[in-house]
Order: sequence, then C-alpha cells, then structure tokens
Amino acid sequence: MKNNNIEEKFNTIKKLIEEEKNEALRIFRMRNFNSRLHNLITREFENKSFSIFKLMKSFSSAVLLLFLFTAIILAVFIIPSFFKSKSEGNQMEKFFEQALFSQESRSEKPSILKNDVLEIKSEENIKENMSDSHKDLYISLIELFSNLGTFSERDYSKEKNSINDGYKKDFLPNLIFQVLKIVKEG
Amino acid sequence: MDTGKNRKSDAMKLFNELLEYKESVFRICLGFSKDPWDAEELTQEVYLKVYKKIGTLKDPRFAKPWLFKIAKNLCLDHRKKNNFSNIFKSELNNEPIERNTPESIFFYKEDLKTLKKIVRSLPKKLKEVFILREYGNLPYQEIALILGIKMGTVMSRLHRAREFIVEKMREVNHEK
Repeated sequence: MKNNNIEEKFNTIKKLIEEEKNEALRIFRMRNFNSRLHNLITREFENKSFSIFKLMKSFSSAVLLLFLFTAIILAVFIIPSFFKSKSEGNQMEKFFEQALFSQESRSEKPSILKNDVLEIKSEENIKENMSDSHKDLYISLIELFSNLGTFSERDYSKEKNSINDGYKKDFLPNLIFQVLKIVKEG
Repeated sequence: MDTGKNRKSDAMKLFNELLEYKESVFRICLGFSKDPWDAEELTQEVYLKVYKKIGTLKDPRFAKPWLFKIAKNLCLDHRKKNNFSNIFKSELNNEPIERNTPESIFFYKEDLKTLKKIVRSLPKKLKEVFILREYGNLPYQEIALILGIKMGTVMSRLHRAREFIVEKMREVNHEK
C-alpha cells in the first residue's frame, strides 16, 4: 500500500525527469556530437604526437645528462690520475735533468777556472789593465832581476826606457814568460 | 603487423558500436550534472576515455556495461571536483516547448531545480542506481552488471531512492 503510494507520487517526479531528458536530448541532437568528438580525438592525437616529441626531447636531454655525467666522471677521476702519472714523469725528468746538470757543472767547473786563468794571462788584459802603479811595480821587478844578474845593464836600461816612453807591444808577455821561466828554473 | 592492424580496426569498430549509445550516456551524465551542456562535456570525456582504453577491454561482450561504468565513475569524479557551490549558477536555457507561459516555465524550473538538488543529495549507492535507471533507462540486469551487485539490490536501492526523493519533494513543497 505504502509502495503504491510512493510510486504514484513518484510518477509526477518521473514526468519531470522525462521532460528534462527530452529537452536536453533535443539540444544534444542539434549539436552534432559525433563531429565534435572526432575533432576532440584528432586534437588528442596531435597532443600525443607532441608528447612523443616531448619524449624525444627528454630523451635527448637524458643523453646530454649522460654525456655530462661521463664528462664529470672523466674530470674527477680519470684526468687527474693521468696528470698525476704525467707529473710523476716530469719529476723523474727533473731529477735526471738535475743529475745531468750537476754532472755538467762538475765537469764545467775546471773549464771555467781555466778560462779565468787564460783571461788573466792574456796579453791584452795585462796591457789594458796595467796602471802606473803596476808599471812602477814592474820596473821594480826588472830592477830586482837585474840585480840578480839575470838581466844585463843594457837590457835593463832598454826595458826601462821602453816602459817609460811608451808601452812596447810584445814586451810584457815576453817578460812574464821570462820571469816564469826563471822561477821555474830557479 | 597484420594482427596489430586487425586489432586496431576491431577496436575502431567496437568504438563506433559504442558510439550508438551516446544518448544513453548523455542521459546518465545529465542525471549527474547540472545542465545539458555540462552533460555533453561529460559525454565527450566519457568517449575520449573509452577511445583511449578500448584496447584494454578483454571481452567485447561487456563493452556496453563497461561504457556505462566509465560514464558513471567519470560523472562521480566530476562531481567530486566541481562541488555544489556553482551547480545552479547557470540557469537552464532549455525551456520546454510545451510550456509556453512564463508561469509554467518558472514552475518547471523551480521543480527541476529542487529535484536535481534532491537527486544530488542522495547517498552515493542510491544515486547511481537511480540515475542509471531513471536517466539512463537501463534495465535492472544491466545496472546490476555495471555496479557489480545483485538485481534484487538494484531494485531495493531504487525503491529507497524514489522514497527519499518523494519525501524530500513533499518536504520542500510543504515548506513552500
């Protein structure tokens, strides 16, 4: 009895629902649903292709990231170790260079001394660097030698005059040679 | 390769078959939504989802209940997102042809507004049965298949829903 009562009352509501549906369907049928849906699906496919493009883009980004990662790995681990070995090689090289240099310097030292002696002994040097005081000393030395009887009176006066008048070109080296010879023999 | 093509053409064929039920889907969406425009948008969304997911359908025999299930779930999700705050914001422009006088149009709108409000206030279990039956015009058996419940449960829920609506409508009219 109660159920029947509800069904009866609901019939009015049902009519209202039917009216709403019919009117809405009338509008829906006018709006060409299929073509709109087709457009929507096409657009979705375009979005899909765009998303594939995006995927490709992200893939290239991933490759780039991988490349960067490899570069970082190389920079952090491999390149420093390479440099390390190279620097070790450089150290060895330096060591050998130093060793060689020291050897060379040792072998060169006498030659340097020798050159110095030669420089001192050279005629030009003596001539150029001889001052008046040296000349005086030199004369004194000749006097001394003459006193010793090495030089004759004539030689002495001759040498003395030549020094006082002007410097005789080959005199001095000859003299030194003479002196050294005497010292050696004496 | 050919198998893939065949599968695609089968899916398209099935989709076109399901497109035949667009008005039923629209009516169900109308039951859940505020107006025909909203219902149409929902119907489009339903078919878009069907188009995307049709490859996942294992048995084409259940394509129809599957379609209505998608429609029901999508409408419920849509309702969750767009709450009742703006439900009656846009007034119904679809004035019934047979209601020509301004008074009749006014009362129709008022009654419809009240009814929709009451339908929306139904508990979820009652509401889905009510809409599938009254708006979708679906048989009890199909509703039972869609909702995964027994036919008797469908009938009892439908009765409770109608009872609820009648009671609420009487209350509103009595207040008026």
